Amino acid sequence: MGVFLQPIYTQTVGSGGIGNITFNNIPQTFTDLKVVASTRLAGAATALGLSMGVNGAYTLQTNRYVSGNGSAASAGSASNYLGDTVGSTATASVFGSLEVYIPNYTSSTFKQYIVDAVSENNATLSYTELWAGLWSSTSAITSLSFAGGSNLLQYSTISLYGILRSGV
Amino acid sequence: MMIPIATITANGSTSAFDFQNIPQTFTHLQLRCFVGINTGSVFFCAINNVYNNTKYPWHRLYGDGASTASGSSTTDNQMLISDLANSATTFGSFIIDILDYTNTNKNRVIKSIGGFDKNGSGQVSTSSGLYIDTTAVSRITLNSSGGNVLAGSRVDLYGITTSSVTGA
Repeated sequence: MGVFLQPIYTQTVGSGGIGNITFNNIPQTFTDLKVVASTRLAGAATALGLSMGVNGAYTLQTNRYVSGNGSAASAGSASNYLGDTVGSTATASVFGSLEVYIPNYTSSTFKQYIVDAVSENNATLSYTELWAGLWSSTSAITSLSFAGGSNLLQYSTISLYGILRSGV
Repeated sequence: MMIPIATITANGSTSAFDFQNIPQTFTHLQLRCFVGINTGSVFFCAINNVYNNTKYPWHRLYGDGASTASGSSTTDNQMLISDLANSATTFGSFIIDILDYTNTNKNRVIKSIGGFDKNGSGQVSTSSGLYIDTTAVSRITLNSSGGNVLAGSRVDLYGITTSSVTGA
């Protein structure tokens, strides 16, 4: 019987930061994937966007969201956007919390995914978001990359997990 | 992997779910909550038995089936998770995540998602909060502002591990 939530990979950003975190050679033996991210970006803002590259490209993704900024709710659509995380002008030593769930990542159909993202900050302005995304490709997912418009800062961590369905 | 740590089940005289001496051997924590109360009440989270109105800014996005809203506070002495159902028969369900709970380079970000439906009314929400302190989390207390919760209410605490393989 498989282990629920099997850790596959983890990367933690060292001093100096890094432009992106990439997981290559994702095993094709699970049913679903889950990504857990604790991140902070170098860009000068309270919150900034993260994007997810699939199989080497940050393309072919369409997204819809609902969002709260601490005082108002909104909804909309985007492309190639995962959700918001913390930027460098937010409260010190705070890292955004974001999870991505990708079911059936090896299937030959287009891939749906859902995202639950929060940025956090000791002020009214901060983002709590739910996203749904579509990667319009029939290829199996073999690599995932994560990047913002600026470096991921030291201590940012992203982990990849595999999940098995019953009977596998 | 996701490993059960402890469970607290309410017996009708329980107004708080208090997890003490949390093992420091995991990377992330998750609480899965099934909680009801027969009066107006809010579900809160406190870390390490600290109740301090400068340490728990929180933010949330919520909807009631007719409208959406976003709210926040920087002056509560614990983090707001969600409203509770105010019903003798309806229990709300919530999942609360705390990433990197032992990492002394990070303040604690608490993320939750959940809600309840009373067949004609209800609420769904995603919430986030900060515990502005880099001390490792060794105790989590979930409090009901309205007093004792319904018997059968339950909170399960899990520890989540990560991989040592980078996949880079």
